[in-house]
Amino acid sequence: MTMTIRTIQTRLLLAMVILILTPILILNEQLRQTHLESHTRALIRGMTQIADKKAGQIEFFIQDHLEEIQLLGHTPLVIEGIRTLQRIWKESGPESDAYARADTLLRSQFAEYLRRGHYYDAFLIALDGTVIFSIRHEPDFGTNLRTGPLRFSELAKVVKVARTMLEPDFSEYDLYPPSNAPAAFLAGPVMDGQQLVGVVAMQFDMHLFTEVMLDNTGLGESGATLMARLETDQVRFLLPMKSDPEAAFRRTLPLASNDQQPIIQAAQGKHGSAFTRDHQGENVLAVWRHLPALRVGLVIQMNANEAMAEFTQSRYWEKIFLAGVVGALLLISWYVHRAVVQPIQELTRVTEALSAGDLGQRAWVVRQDETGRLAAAFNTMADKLLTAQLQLEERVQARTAELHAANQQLHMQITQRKETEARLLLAHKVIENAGEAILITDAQGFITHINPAYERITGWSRAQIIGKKPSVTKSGRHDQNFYQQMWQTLNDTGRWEGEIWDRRANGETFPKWLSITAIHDDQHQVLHYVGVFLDISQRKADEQRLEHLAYYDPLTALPNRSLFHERLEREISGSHRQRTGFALFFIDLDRFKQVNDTLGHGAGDELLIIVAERLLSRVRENDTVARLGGDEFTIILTHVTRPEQVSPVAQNLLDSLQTPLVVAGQEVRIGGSIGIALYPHDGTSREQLTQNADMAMYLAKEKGRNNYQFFSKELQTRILDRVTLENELTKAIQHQELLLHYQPKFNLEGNRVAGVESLVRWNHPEKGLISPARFIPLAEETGLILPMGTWILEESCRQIKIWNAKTTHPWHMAVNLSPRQFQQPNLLPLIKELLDKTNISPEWLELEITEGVLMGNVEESIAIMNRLRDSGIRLAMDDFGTGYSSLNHLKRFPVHTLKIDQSFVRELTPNSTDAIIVQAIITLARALGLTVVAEGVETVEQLEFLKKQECHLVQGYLFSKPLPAQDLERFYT
Amino acid sequence: MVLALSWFFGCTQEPKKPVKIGILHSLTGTMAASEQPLVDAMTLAIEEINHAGGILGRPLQTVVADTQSDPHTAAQAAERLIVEEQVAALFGCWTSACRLEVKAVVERRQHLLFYPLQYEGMERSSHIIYTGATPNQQIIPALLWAMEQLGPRLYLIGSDYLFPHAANRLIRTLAPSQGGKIVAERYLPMGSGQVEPIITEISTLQPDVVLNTINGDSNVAFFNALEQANRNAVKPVAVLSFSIAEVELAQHPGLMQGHYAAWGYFQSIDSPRNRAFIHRFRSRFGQNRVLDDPMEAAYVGVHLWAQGVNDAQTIAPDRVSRAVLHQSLQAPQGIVSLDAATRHLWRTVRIGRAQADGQFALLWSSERPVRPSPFPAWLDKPRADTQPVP
Repeated sequence: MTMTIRTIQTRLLLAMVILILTPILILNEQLRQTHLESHTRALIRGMTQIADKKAGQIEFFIQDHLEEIQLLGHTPLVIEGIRTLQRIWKESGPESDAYARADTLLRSQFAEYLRRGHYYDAFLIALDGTVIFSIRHEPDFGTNLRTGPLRFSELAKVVKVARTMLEPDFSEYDLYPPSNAPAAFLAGPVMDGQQLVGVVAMQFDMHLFTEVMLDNTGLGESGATLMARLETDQVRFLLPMKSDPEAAFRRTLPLASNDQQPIIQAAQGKHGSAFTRDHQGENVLAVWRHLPALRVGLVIQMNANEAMAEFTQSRYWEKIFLAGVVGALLLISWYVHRAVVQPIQELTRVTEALSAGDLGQRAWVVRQDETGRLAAAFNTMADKLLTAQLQLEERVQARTAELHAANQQLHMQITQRKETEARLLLAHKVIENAGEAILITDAQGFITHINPAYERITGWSRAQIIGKKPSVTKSGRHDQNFYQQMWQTLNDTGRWEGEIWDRRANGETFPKWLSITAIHDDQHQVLHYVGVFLDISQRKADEQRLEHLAYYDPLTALPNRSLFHERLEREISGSHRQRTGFALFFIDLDRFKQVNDTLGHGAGDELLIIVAERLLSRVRENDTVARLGGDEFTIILTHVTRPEQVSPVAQNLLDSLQTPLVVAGQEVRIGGSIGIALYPHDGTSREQLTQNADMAMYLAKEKGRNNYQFFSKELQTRILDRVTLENELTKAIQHQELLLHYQPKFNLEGNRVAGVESLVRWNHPEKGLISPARFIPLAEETGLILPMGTWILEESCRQIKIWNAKTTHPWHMAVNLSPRQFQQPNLLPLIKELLDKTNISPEWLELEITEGVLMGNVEESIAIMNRLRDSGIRLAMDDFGTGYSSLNHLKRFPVHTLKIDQSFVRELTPNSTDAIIVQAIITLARALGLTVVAEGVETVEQLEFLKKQECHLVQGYLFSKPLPAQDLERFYT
Repeated sequence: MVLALSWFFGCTQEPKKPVKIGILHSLTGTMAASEQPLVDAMTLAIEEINHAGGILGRPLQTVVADTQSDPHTAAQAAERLIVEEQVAALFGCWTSACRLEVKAVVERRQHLLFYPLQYEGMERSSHIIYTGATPNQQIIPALLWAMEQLGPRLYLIGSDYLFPHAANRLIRTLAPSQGGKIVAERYLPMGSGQVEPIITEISTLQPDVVLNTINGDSNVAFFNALEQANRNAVKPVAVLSFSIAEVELAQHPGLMQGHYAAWGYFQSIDSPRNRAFIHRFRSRFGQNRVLDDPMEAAYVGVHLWAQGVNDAQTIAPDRVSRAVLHQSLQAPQGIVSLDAATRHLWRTVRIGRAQADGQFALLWSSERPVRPSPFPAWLDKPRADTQPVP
C-alpha cells in the first residue's frame, strides 16, 4: 500500500511537469530563439550598412579623384607646364631663373588644387621618370622614379601605370619615406591629343581619410574600425586603435593560428559577419569587407555585450517570470499534498490497521472538508465495528471492502479535478503575463480574448475589442490583396507570420511582427485563431535612424549627395518608363560666404536650416530638395515637361530666398542663382543632367545672381568658348602674345606730353587683336589678372626707364590696377621689388584705381593707398564720377590725380548736365589741390570747354590714340 | 487556453523548395567543346554550396539550357528560364554576340546574368556581372610585357570577328605611345585553315612578337605551320595568344610549346587553394580533366552570386544585383573583388609559357589585383550606361 501512495504523489508531480512546465519551457525557448535571431539580424544589418557605406565612401572618393586627375592631365596648363619644365630642366637645370619663373606660374595654379582637394603635394614627372616639379620640394624632388631610390615606392608604381597603360591609378595607402607619414598617391597621364608628354601625380593628405574611417557613429561605446593589409605571414594594421593610438603601421598580427580572425579574413579577401573574438580576445560582433582599391581588409565591430545589452535585459525579466511560475507550481503541489494526500495516507494507514484486525486504530484527520468528514465517519464506523465485531465480523469485513473501494474512487476524482484546475490556472497566467500581445478569436474571426500586453501595446481595452473582428484595428496601409494572401496562407498551412501595420486606439499606426495560428479540434475543424505579436516600431525606428545617418545631411535633414544621386537615378528610370519628364535645379546661395565670414559658422548653419525650410515649403511633396554640401542645394521637380511649368516655381523659389531673414540676431539678405536642366530634353543620364544644371547655374551667377537660367545648347557652346578663351589667355601670358600700347596725356596747349597711360593688347596668333573688354573681365575672374598685371607693371616700368633716360622732363607712367590686384596682399612688396628691379624713381609710376574699387571697403582702401603713397608712388582715381564717392571720402583718399570719366567728356556741350558735372569736378579737384585729367577728348569744342574750366591735362583721340612704344618717340621734345 | 498553447508543439517545418538557377551554354555545335567544361565548373560550385547547407536554407538546383552555339537560341532560352522556370539568376554565354543578345533579355526582364569570359570591354549593363578580364587586365599589360621582353615590332593576327578587331584597335592606339610598331594586321575567316600566306609574311617581316587572337581550330593550322617555318629560321618568331587556354591545348598538348599566353588564372598556379580546387574538380569529374581561366571565372561567379544572396537575404535579382557589388572572395587565382562602379572584377594578370604537356609555366604576374577599366581612359568613346541604373 505504501508503494501506491507514493505512486499517486509521483504521478501528480510528473503530470504537472509534463503537462505544464514542459510547454512553458519550450514556449519560452522558442520565443528566445526568435527574439535572438531577429535582434542579431537587425544588428548585423545595421553594421553591414555602416561597413558598406564606408567602403562606398572610399570607392567614391577614389573614383572622384581618378576622374579629376584624368581631366588635369588634359588641361593646357599642365600639358604646357610639363613641356616647358622638361625643356628648361634639360637646358638649364632646376637652379636656373627660367625654371624659377615657370615653377612660380605652375605653383600658383596648383595651389588652388591643393587647397581644394585634400592634397599634400603635387608632382609633374618627365617621360624619363624624373620628378621635375613638386610643390613641397621634399627629397623626392629631382629624383628619378624609374632608377632612383624611390623606384619601389607607391608613387613610382602609380606613375608607371599612368605612363605605360595611360590610365589614371590610385596607390595603396602606405608609409612614404620622404614625408615619413602615411600617404597615398594618384597619378594620371598627361596627354596632348594622343601623345603622352609626362605624368601628373598628387600625394594625399590622409588625415581626412583617417577621420572618416575612424568615425564610429552608430556603433555604440565600444565601436571600432580596423583596417589591415596582408603581408607574407602577418597582417599590418593601418589605423590607430582606441587601446593603442600608435598602432597604425606599427602593430601586426601573425597569420598562423589566427586565421578565423575577422581582420585576417578581410585582409585575405573574405567577407562576412559574426559573433567572434577580435585580435585582443574580446567578444565582439563584427562585419568585415575587403577593399580592393586599397588592398586592405576593413572590420567594423562592437563589443558583444554592448550589442546584446537590450536582449540580455529582456531575458532577465523572462527568467524572473519563469522562476515565479515554477514557485507557484511547487506551492500548488505542496497544497495538494497537505489537503488530499496526507488525509488519504492517514485513512489508508487506519484502514490497513483495521483490515489487519487492529480495531482499536482511528484516523487522525482534523479537516472540515470531504476528507475530514470521511475520516470522522470512518472513525464512527470503526467504533461500531468494534462493538459488533463478534456478531458481524463477516459483514464488517464485507463492508470494509466496499468502503475501501469507495475511498479509492473518491481519491481518484479529487486528484483529477485538482490537476485540471492547476493546468487551467497556469495557462491563464502565462497568457496574462506574456510580454507579447496575444489575441484569440473563434472560428468566425470574432475576438474572444486579449491579454494585458495587447491592451498595453495597442491601447484598445477589452470592452472595446471583445466580440469585434481584428480588422477594426487595421491601419489602411495594406491593400485587399495583402489580407487575401494572409488568409490564403493561414487556411493552407494553418500558420501565417509577417510584418503588418495596425492602428492603436489613439489613431497612431505602428508596425508589428504577427504570428497567427489556427487551432483545430480532432476532426480538423478550426476552433480558434491565436495571434501573437510584438510591437516592432522601435526596431523600425532604429533602422530608419541608421538609414537616415547614411542618407541625410545632419544639419538640414535634407537628403545628402548620395541620396540625391539615388533619387535622381530613380527619377530618370521612372520618367523613362512613364514617358514623362522632370526638372533638375541647382541652387547656389548668393552672399552666403559673407554671412559665414562676418557672423560666424553658427550663423551660417542657422541660415542653411532656414533656407532648407523655405525651399521645402515651395515645392510639392513628391519633389526632392537635397543639400550637396556648402551652400549648394538641388531640387528634383517631378512630372514637368515644359519650361513654362518650371519658371513659376523657379521665380517662387527666388522670391522666398530674397525675403530677409534673421540669423544670430541680425537681419541679413541673401539671394540665389538657379540653374535648370530638363529631363529628357537636356540629358538622360545623371552625369549629363547634373553637369548641365550646374552649367546653367554658372550662367545665372554670371548674369548677376538672383535669377534662374535654363540650360541650352547655346549656353554649352558659350561656356566652352569661354573655357577656350581662358586656356588661350593662359598660353598668351606664357607665349608673350600680350603687348602694351601707350596713350599720351597732354597739357592744354597740346604741345607737351606730361605722361602716358599703358594699355594692354592681346595679339592672338590666329584671331588677331582681341579687345581688352573681352579678356580683362575674364582674367579678373579667373585670377589670371595677377600674373598678367605683374607683367604689365614690369613692362611699363622698363619702358618708362628707357624713355626718361633720354629726357630732362620725365614722363609719368600711368598703369591701371584691377580690383583683384589692388586687394592682393603682397601688392606693396611686389611693386617695390619691380621698382628695385627696373631701378626707376617711384614718382614716375602712377597707379590708376577706379572709384568703384575704392568704395568697396573704404578704410582698408585708404590704408593700402597710404602705404603706396608713402613709398613715393603717385595715385590716380580713374573713371571719376561714375561711382558714388562722397566728398568726405574724396578728401581722405590720398590721391594725386582725378581722371574724369570719358562718358562725361563725350557728351560735353555748353550748359548740358555733363558740362555742369565736369565743371564741378574740376572746381572740386582744384580746391583739394589735385591734378585733373579729362579722358576721351575727341573734338576741338570739348577741348575749348576744358580750357575754359582750367582743366590740367587732357587725353584722347584728338591728340593721339594708344600707340606702340616706338611710335611715341616722336613726342619727345 | 490550453489550445492557445498547443500550436507551439504542433508546428512542423515543411521541406524547403529548391532555388533554381539557369545556365546558358552550348552543349552542341561549334562552341560545345569550349563551353561544356564551364558547366562542370559551375556544377562543382553549386555542389559545394549545397553541401554547406544551400542558400537561405534552400538547396540550389540548376536548369541547363543548350544554346546550340547560336546567340538567338540563347536569347530565347534566357527568356524561357526567366519566365517559365523562374530562375533566380542566369550564368552563361561565351561569345560577345551571345552576351549582347542575352543582355537585351535580362535588361528587359530586369534580371541578372553572370558572364565569365574575357572580352573587349566598352560595356556596363546594370543587369550583368562580368567575371572575366577586361582589356586592361589581359591584353594591355601583356602587350607592354611583350614589347619590353621580346621587342617592339608587332604582328597582329586574329580571327575575323568582334573581339580580335576590338583588341587590335586598342593595341593600335596604345602601342605607338610606348615605342611599339605594328608591322602588319591580318584576319583569318572563322574556321579557316588557309594560313600559308600569313606564315610567309611573318617569315619575311620577322616581327619580334606575334599577338594572336585567332579563335578555335584555326590555331592548330597556324601553330603547326609556324613550327615548320621556325625550324628553318635564324630567329624563331614568338607568339603571344589571348584566346587559347589549357582546355583548348588538352587536345594538342605540344602545339604551343615555348609560346606565350596571358590570363588571370592558370592551372599551374602553385597555391594550396588552387591545388585544393583542382583536387575537388578532378575527384568529381575525372583525373584527366584540366582547368582554365573561363572555367575559374564561371566557378567564381556562382560563389559571388551565393554570397550576394546571403547578404541580401533574398533571391530577388534586383536586390542580389546590388548586394553582389560589395562581394569579394579568395578565388583559386587569388583575391577577387567586385568593382561596384564597373560591375567587373578586380583580377590578377598573369603571363605563362606553354610547356610540352599543354600547361603553362608562370613568367610574370601583376603584383596585385588590377582595377577593371572596361572603358579605357585614352579611347575617345562616350561613357554611357546602356540604360539608366534603377
